[in-house]
Order: sequence, then C-alpha cells, then structure tokens
Amino acid sequence: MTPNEENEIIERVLNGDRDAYAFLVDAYQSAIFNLVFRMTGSYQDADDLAQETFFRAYRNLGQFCPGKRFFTWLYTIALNLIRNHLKKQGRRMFRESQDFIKHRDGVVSETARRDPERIERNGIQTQKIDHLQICLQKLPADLREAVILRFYQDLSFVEIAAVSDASVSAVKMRVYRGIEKLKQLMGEDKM
Amino acid sequence: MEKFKDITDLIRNTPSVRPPGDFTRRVMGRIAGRERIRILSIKEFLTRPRRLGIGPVAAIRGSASGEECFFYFILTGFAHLTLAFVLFLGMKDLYGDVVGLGWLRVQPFIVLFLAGWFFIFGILLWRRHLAGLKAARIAIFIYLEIIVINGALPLIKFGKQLFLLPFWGLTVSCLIVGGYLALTLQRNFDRETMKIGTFKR
Repeated sequence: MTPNEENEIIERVLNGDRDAYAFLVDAYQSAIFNLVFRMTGSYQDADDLAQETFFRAYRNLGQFCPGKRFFTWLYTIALNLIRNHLKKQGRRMFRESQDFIKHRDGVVSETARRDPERIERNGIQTQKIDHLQICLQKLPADLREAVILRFYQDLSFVEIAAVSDASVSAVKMRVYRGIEKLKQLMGEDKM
Repeated sequence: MEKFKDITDLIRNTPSVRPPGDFTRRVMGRIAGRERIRILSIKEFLTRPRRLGIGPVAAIRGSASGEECFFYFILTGFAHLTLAFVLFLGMKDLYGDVVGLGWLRVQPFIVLFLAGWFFIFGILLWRRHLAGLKAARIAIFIYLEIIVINGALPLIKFGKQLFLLPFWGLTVSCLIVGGYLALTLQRNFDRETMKIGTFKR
C-alpha cells in the first residue's frame, strides 16, 4: 500500500467512514501479527496483541501525522504493547516454540499441497527453523526486537530506528549483537 | 554480517505465520461493538478518532495538524474574548461610564477585534486547510505587529511608568502566544507539500 493510499484511507476514516479502516487492517495484519508472534512466541498472544494494536491505532488515528508512514506508527504501537506484555509476563522460554511449530506446520502443509518436492528438499531446513525459533526466544527482548525487525520484517536500519525510537548506530549495534548472540545460542544448543 | 549469512538466510526463509482468517472482522467488530448499545454510542461519538489531537510541545516541533492549529487559534480567540470582557468591565466606574485615557479606552475594542481575528482565521484553518494556513501565517504576523505597536505607544507617550506594568505584562504574554502560533504554523508550512496541495492534516 502506497503512502498516498494510506493517507486517503485515514482521511476517510477520520471523516467518519469507519469501515475504510478494514483496508488498513487487511494490509498490515500479517506484518503486525508476525512481529508479535516472533516476539512473544505465542499464537494466542499474537492474536490478542495484534488486535489491540489495530484497536489502539484506530482510537488514536487523529494523532497520526500523515508526513510519516502509517506502518512505522503502527509498529511503534505494537512494540510498546509487546514490551509491556513481556514485562508483565516475564521471559518465556520454550513453550512458545511448540506454538510456532504448530502454526508453522499450517504454512508448510499449505506449501506441501502446492509443491511437495520443495518441502522434502527443505526438510532439514525446517528443523533448523524450529531450532532458530527456540533460540530466538532466549535472546534479550531488545536484541530480539532488533533482529526480528531487521531480518523477519525486512525493515531498513533507518526504519527500525524510527520505529524503536533509537539512533541508527544503536540499532545497528543491537542487530549485530543480536545475531551474534543468536549464532552463539544455536551453536550451544547443538552441543 | 557475512559471517552470519547462514543464520540471516535461515531467518529470511522462515515461513510467515498466517493470522486467523477472521482477524479483520474481529478487529472491526471490536471497533464497532461499542456502537450497539445506544448509551455507548455517545461515547463512541465522543471518542471517535478525529484530527484534533492536542500536543502543544509536539506542535512546535512541526507535527501539528491543521485542526490542531485551528484549536489553538480558537483557544487564543477565547482568551482574548475573556480579556476584552474583563477590560470592558474593569474600565467602568460606579455609574457605568467608561473611564480612563483615550488610548486606554480603545484597548477592550482592540482585544475584541483580535478575538474575532483569531476566530475567523481559526475557522479558515479548519475549513480551508491550504488557504487557511497561508492566511493564518499572514494573520499572525499582523497580530504581532498590532501588539508591538500597541505596546510601544504608551511607552512613547508616558515613558517607563510603573502603572503600565500590567499592560506590558499582557503585551509580553500576547507576544509569547503569537510567537508560539507563528512558530507552529511556520514549522507546518512545507513549501513542497503546499505545491502539491496536500496540507498536513
């Protein structure tokens, strides 16, 4: 969705066309849901927090500055909710991985129907991905956040800096430290 | 980052998780849910997102919407209106006649005029964003000029007199308010944006 389209929809919502907001939810639900899911590791939490993100964004839409990208603003809301949630819940370690595997399987089986050979080829890859997800949950929240935004969500360093209210150099450092720690954890777990 | 390529590739190859199929419907349902009960519909009306988000500090940094500027203008207009009434009432003696020097007598009218000035340009900001912003910038400039000239007149006529202290206090307050509004408008005045005719809401 282009910034102009976003602004047009926001304009419509602010003028009373509440249903137009569904277009924004449709456009960003996957990104926000995945962000929350990777951060919390829980499908249920992802569902609740992603919903809450869109709900809060709707309520505060009047404060949104159209000069900025909507997704940046949405990510900021989502990250604040996630941070609060993680603080409340404390760090969760392994049970999330079960959730991931369960829902990853849904995606994999869908792909399998379309391209069975690919799944077979990627069998070992799938195990690695599960292992990665477990290790990801062991990362400190700030490093996990940086890694997820950079590599899962494919955001640029500048975008991550805008979303997480940090300097670009701090973000680069977090991403580097996060990925380094992740590699270390993955190596340790193999042993 | 080359030495972490195996991990970054692995992350990028991770399949994304699909949100539940009815996700959008549930979000929209939650948003609409409050309207079902009549009494809550009033709350819904009042809490519905609007362009009017107030953030005086953020506004000066350049993130004020047109409607926020409108709000500040109307607020300033009301402040001037109140001041005009106070001056009107304060200048009447026991018999209801206006007392004081000629210059002093016109002060309530000047303030009343400025209140109307703010209301008009505030409404213009709200209804005609682009033209309103351009006009409001000029209006604020004129306002500041009026305040400076009005503040300088007694200084020329009476010199530095202690009885004029409250008057200058008000003058300084007006200059601060005017300066704030001018800065807020200026920060939101993006020439490039103006060209394509999309005013920051």
